[in-house]
Amino acid sequence: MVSNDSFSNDSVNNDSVVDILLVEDNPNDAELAIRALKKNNLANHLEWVRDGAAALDFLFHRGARANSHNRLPRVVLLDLRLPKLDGIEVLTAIRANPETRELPVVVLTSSQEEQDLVATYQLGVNSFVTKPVGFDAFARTVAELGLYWVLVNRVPPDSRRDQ
Amino acid sequence: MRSRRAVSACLPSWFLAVRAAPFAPRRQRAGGRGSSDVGVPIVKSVIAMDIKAKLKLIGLLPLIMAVLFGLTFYRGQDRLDVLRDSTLLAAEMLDELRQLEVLSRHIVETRANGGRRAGYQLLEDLDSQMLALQSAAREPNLVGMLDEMAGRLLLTRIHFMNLDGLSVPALGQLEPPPSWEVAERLRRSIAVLQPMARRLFRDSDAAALAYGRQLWMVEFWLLAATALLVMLLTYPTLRRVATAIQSLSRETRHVGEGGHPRDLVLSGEDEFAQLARDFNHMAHRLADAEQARERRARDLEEAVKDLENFSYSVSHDLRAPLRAIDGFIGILEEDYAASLDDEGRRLFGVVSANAKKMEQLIDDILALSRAGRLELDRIDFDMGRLVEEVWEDLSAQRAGRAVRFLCPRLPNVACDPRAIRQVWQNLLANAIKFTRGQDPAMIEVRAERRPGMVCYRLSDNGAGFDPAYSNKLFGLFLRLHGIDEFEGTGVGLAIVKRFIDKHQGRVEATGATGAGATFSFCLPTGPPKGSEEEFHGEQRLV
Repeated sequence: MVSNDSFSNDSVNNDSVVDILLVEDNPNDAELAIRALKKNNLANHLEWVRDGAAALDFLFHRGARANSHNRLPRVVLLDLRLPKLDGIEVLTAIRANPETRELPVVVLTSSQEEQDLVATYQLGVNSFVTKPVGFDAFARTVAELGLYWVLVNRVPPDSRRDQ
Repeated sequence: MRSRRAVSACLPSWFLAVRAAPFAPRRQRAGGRGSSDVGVPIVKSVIAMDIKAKLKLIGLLPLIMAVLFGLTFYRGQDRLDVLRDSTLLAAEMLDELRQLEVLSRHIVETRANGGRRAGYQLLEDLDSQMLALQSAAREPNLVGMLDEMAGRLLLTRIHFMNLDGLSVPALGQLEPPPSWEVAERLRRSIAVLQPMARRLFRDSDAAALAYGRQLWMVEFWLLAATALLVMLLTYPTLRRVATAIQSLSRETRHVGEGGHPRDLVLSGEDEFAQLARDFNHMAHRLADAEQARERRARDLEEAVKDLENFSYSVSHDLRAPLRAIDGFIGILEEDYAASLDDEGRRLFGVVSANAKKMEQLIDDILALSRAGRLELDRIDFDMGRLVEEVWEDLSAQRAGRAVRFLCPRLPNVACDPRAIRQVWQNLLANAIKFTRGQDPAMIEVRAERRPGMVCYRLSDNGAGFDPAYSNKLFGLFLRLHGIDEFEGTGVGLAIVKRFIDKHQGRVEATGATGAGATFSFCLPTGPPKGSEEEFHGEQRLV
């Protein structure tokens, strides 16, 4: 059983290697996703933030994360409906910054709206995945995403900033 | 002469009635204190008249003046005739007096009897002429002179009778005056009469001349006054009409251009002022209506936006709790499987199945909402290939079943491929679903061209439906089969109908329980026309 606290921001070592940045405001969804990743041993280097502003703080080392020295994650799993800054705004900021322009971003959302698909692809999203409602399908989808983006996919060498 | 007077005598009753108005300004011009008190209100009331009344007055004035002109001319001519008659009579009298003088000399000289009768005839003529003159005379001078002349004429007659010597029988007993003396008296009395008659002739002639001149003068002034009055009335009226029309047309143009109407300002109380007021009223109402329309359009836009936000929320927010329900049930099943008995697992299965059903409902409702909002993009594409693609996509749903699918070459029609793909998908999925009990299942697609449209037909040998409820087939959430018999939410055919409606096409279904079903939809070729309107109306009845 995984508790929410074990993945809260405070419990993660600021200088650890982060492979997956999970941006998800719904703790249930986050728990299900983390559980699915954990089953595949992918949750060891996972950072979970609950809103768009925290995601940008993490990526750009500012605000509460001003003193951290994380490398960029291998993938950002980004929900679209988020408090403070929504997914579209986070994606816009990521693509606008030269350091994070090539960062793989996967939109993982409940939305099936065509407008979201079009908007995120126009902003250069790497993948758009709709969260299945069924437990099995959801667990499988998240696990496959993690496996692919963390283990299979390769990124340009200088896109992961070494500190 | 008498008949003419009779005519003129019967005129004054209305003549007096009409003279009040046109003479009013003249009376005012006369300038007395009393007359201006009467005139000013009349002028004021004329100014206050509306345009129609003024135009009527302008039209009526020349008419009144013409009547007045005719009347004065008629009466003047009458008087002129009298004067000319008098001149003529005077001339005749002069002539007769000369004849009488000649005759009396002749009688004295010749003592002839023949001249006496002529003498009396001349005297009779003179008398009758005198009578005529007296009856025509008006001026006291003339009357006095005529009286005197009448007296002289009587004297002349007496002298002539004396000369004749017949009228006085007692004359024989007296010493008769010698005939030359009588003749001399006669001659003298004629000599007195002659200059009088001459003067009468001259006076009459002069009077006729003078009266004629005066008459023309009166007529001239009458005409001049009419012209002046018409001008006085016409000029301001025409100016008012011209300026009012100009400003009305200018202002109405402004109203047409801008959204905010500017008030027309036309002073006065006439039709144009009323028109301006009415126009302002109308412009305000128009502006209000326009504002209301804009408000409604804004409301509608907001409503559409709300609806979009709503469906977005539905798609996003309603799914999350479902995922949580199913997900945590899944965790329970995985992590606590040992402590669950069969009934516990069955109950969790029910929860899980309902969560999935709920998701399907949400998906279908959203699909329907998207179908309503989709803006059609009519293009030509290969319909047969689209159907093949959809059929291939549905392979998972017919896995492990023997299904015979017949699809000949299909005619194309310009329509929205996204919408029509969804239509085929729903219809074919239905056909696969409802032929579940058949071995082999038969699904056949056919098409035919009809005037103005192309009709596609999809038949199966599946469960069919009771034709009594065929009107409920395309209704939202309406199902003709039990949920345990065939799964579904009752949205698929509603989406089909909505898409076909959007194409101004028509869709219908025939079938019988256990004998399969045939769904057909027709799409119009070319832009919508009258015939397709008809179909539109028809399908509303479905």
